[in-house]
Amino acid sequence: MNHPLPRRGFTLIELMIAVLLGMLVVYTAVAGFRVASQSVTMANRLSLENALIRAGFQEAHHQLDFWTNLDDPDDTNRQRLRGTVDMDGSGGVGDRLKDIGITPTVGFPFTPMSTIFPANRPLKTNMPTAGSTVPRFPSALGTPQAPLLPLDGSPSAPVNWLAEADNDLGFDPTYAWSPHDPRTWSRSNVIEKERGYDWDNEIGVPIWFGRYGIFTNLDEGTSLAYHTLNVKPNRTDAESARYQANYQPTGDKPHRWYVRQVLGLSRSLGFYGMCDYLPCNVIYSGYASFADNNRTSAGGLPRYFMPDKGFLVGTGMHEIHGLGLHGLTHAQSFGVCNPELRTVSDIDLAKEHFRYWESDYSTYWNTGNADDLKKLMRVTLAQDTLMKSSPGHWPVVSVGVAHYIKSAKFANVARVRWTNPITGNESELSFTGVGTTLRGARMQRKLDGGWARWDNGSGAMNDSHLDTP
Amino acid sequence: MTYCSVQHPQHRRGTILIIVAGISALLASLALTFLVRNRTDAEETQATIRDVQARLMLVAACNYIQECSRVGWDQYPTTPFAQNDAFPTGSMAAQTVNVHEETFGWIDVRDGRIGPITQEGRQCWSPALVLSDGIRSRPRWPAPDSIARCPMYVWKRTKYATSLHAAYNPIQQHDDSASDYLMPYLRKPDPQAVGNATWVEHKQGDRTPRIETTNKSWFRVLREGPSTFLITCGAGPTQGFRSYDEADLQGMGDLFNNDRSYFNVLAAQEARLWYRVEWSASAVESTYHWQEHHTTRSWDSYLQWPVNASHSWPTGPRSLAFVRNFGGTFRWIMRLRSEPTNW
Repeated sequence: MNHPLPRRGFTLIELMIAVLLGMLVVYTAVAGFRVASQSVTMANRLSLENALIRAGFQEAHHQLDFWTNLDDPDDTNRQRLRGTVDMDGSGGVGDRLKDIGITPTVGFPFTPMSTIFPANRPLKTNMPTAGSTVPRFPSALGTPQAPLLPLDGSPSAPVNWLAEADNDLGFDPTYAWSPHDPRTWSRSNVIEKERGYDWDNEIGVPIWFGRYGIFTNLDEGTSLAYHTLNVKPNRTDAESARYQANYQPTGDKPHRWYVRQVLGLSRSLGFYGMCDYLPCNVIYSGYASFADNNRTSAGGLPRYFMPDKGFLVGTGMHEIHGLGLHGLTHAQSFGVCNPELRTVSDIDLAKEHFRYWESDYSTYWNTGNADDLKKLMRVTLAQDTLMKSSPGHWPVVSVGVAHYIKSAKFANVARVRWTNPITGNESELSFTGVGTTLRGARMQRKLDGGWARWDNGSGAMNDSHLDTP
Repeated sequence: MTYCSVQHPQHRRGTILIIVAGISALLASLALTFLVRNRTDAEETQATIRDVQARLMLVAACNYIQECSRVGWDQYPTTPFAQNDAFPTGSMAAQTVNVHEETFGWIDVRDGRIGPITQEGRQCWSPALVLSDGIRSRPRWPAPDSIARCPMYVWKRTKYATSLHAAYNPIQQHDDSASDYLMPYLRKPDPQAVGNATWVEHKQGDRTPRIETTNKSWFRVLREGPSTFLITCGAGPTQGFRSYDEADLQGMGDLFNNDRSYFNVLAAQEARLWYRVEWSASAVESTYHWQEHHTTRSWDSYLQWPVNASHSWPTGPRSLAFVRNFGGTFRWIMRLRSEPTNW
């Protein structure tokens, strides 16, 4: 039988098929490796991005609780908000303070109380301070104790008003502003109508409901004489004449504590800081001796507290009365300005803490582009990169937290933003949070640098902090 | 021929096996990479979630402190529970009614006494040391230096829970001689109680925790001063007990299988944050009328727009609904950097 010889080679067709199949296998393998490599790279990149976003998220919460974006206790180069600035001659708040005889030096939100608040010394020259001892409760840095009440009887049967309570000029970190303390009852002038732009000629009836100056006044009793008023031409009737009272000085001494606290906190910490420290039911107002040339209203309300002329800036209205927090921040906001990424002078930085930003509809009406709102965000929500140095192919993450007041709400707005290094796309995570307040952040900080220790164990020695008198 | 026809197919199967095995290994390694990466990310995310969950407890604790300043007390140390009477004088004085009387703040707004105190002046707390936190004896909440432990979970059925399903109440329209002809009488109450609960069950609810909501988070409040509180915010399953000893002393060791080491393991996995806060009785801001009205130069005053005015439109800037908080407010909140000795 003839058996065919075993084949020792391949036909051309077989070779071609083999080569083709081989190429397919190699291509598949290469493509598989490529896909796998890309997938791993993508997974790593996404994982890295997620990790950095998480880190940004955590950092934002850290800033919410410790305010380190605004003041870093561990870095003396990042404590710009602890200083003081002489605003004499720089206009604005400096002039408003000088109007009422107060030194035009102001502080920032992290300025220690002991360097700026008028502890144991008068706001004004030659003002009485007898009987004032601050702190009254030196051993109680953590535990509030019963305040020294101005009435030596009970609230239902008061006996005498103690001058010592009014002369207390310092900031007492243990005082709780309790409602049963009559010193907290000031509601200032309920309403004082200006009724016109020309103050001297068109003032109508500035004192409708009584002499509110006696509830809170920077000055002594004999200085409470009000300007004799010109009656507005269209109100020369008997009813109007009734209000043309010539308020004569009396022996009644006005109470001083309230306005000193309001003015003192404002001057020490800026508008945001003042609102943070005072209870929510405070009326932000007070009185001084009548002074002409628009330094006070006819009723003695200082320009500092007047619409468009000082603190109550921006209400745009022509009516003078004490405002509460909602009234103040219904159409505008106060904020804490982040100094870290800003190169403005200390005076300009201080001005940013003694002004408002329009943050309501008006910001659109006036400029059409929410210009003031953008400025507010720019100065309060200054974002800083999470990592000062990182590989070029890593996403760049920046974090910032803004603190401002709007419609009586203390807003803490956090923003985490990251940029894709490949596409350049920018994404953002914004959220609001509840955390440490400004006052809490100040109590976290040791007076002479670093973090203040706090413990409630038996015999624990706690550090002095920024509010320690 | 036989030799050739047998050997070649076997060789091809081996090649395919190698290729398939290689691709499979590739896929497996790819999947493994993803899984490992995902697991790592998930673990890191869990830590973030726990932190957020704990932070949420700060809000819960603040709400609790605000509410407790005004409501929630119906047992007074000086008066046995059975004799709590809502009307201490007058014709109803003899009645024993279980009521939650209103109180007037942690520092009483009327005279500065340490509250909560009822309108009649009954103190809702006692300084008697009756509980132990495993370290020392403490009075019962809400006395100063006492502790409230609040594990968070969802009740199986809340009080007065009503069904989302409308009750079927057809209108009788066939018998025109009937008194209810075409009358929309609600013969079946609508809305109806969830789960056919009796009235008592409906009123009391079912406090049984929904299992999927347990062991998530808790808060714990130490009243360190009349109006200052130390809040511990936790995310984890220890239910707010500081130690196993505390749980055991309060007869609740079985929550942790009566196993100290088990409790310690759970505690080690938790997120815990500490905050100090100060409560204030200030409940509302005090602008007497709103600036929007200035534009009309109206001669209005606080007499027309008193603080509790409610006749303004609800979303108007003059409405105080936005800024009213009858439970008081917080003057400051401070996160602690480290665990305090007492909490």
